Amino acid sequence: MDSPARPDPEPSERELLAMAYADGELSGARLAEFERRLMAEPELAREVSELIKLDLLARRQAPPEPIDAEWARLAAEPRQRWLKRLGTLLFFGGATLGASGYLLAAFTGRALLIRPGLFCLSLGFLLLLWAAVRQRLRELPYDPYIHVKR
Amino acid sequence: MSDGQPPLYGETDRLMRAAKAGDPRAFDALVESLRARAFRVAYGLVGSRDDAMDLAQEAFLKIYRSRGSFDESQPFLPWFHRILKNTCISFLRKRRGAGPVSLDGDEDEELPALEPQSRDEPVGSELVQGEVQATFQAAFAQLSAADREVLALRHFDDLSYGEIAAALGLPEGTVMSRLFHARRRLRDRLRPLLASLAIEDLDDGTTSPRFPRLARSR
Repeated sequence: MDSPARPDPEPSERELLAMAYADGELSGARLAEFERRLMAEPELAREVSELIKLDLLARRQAPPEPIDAEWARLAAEPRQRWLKRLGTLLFFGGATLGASGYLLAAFTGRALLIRPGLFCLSLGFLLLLWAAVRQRLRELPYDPYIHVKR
Repeated sequence: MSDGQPPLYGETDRLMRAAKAGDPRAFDALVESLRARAFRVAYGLVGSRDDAMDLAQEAFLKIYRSRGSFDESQPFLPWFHRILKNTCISFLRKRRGAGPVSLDGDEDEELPALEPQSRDEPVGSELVQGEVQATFQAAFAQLSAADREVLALRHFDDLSYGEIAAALGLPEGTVMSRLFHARRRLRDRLRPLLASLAIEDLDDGTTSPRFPRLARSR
């Protein structure tokens, strides 16, 4: 990290003008005047050239902007995640409960857990199905193969 | 070096005031107008695309939750940028096991190296494109958060000095000074790389021909 012991020296007017020119911030008479100086001062031209190179190099490192679908996916993610978690929990919990219920019924003749187990299993399945359909519907407009005839 | 306020400045204030008054569509519009910028600035601060998206989203969530405390007599953008920056710094501190920072504090610290991205087109005739990228990112990662923020606004988001000043709530002269020093530090670290590249290597034609006289003078 840059933590200099003494403060940075203030840039000179010439340095600020070179930066403003490289950033396209000069206009009118100031631009014309600076361009005249550029023609006459090779050192200034070299300075501006360095700044432009840095600008172009930095622009190339700009991250690709997320597309709308990525933002939409991100926004919907918490709900989708909870839907899937709850669905999975109910599905497997229900299956375990149901299986335990059948075993219990086989040994004791009491079918107490079968109904709640089947209910949780069905509910979990429906939630997972809902999550899958919801995700597909959201991604459908961005599917590149949607109009491909096979 | 431009005069007058950029158009986004007043619009975001209006949308935030409406969102504070309870208009959910205004907040949606606010998010849509600023999310790309939030993403680029967050990327500049944390160096990872996925994390930048999450953090931009998290910053908007924080803004929505604390919309009641937004001071309508103040411009919105500096508040927004402060929350975004602190969200990113909190994330980095948590990742390193330190505590979070407050919503309104303004902290600055060393940040970890950036995550390399994949690019298709080569840069420079002699250097491998990945090498250029890695060198740039390593140099960028060594800058302070304040330097990275102002450079991200200028180079990644392409904002003018006036727009950066409005975004950070600073005078334009201060922005120029900050930008100057941040660039100087970056240039010092990239000097050998910059010396090995010509403008033609970097300019893929998408940049407007702003510098015809300079090209002739070189």
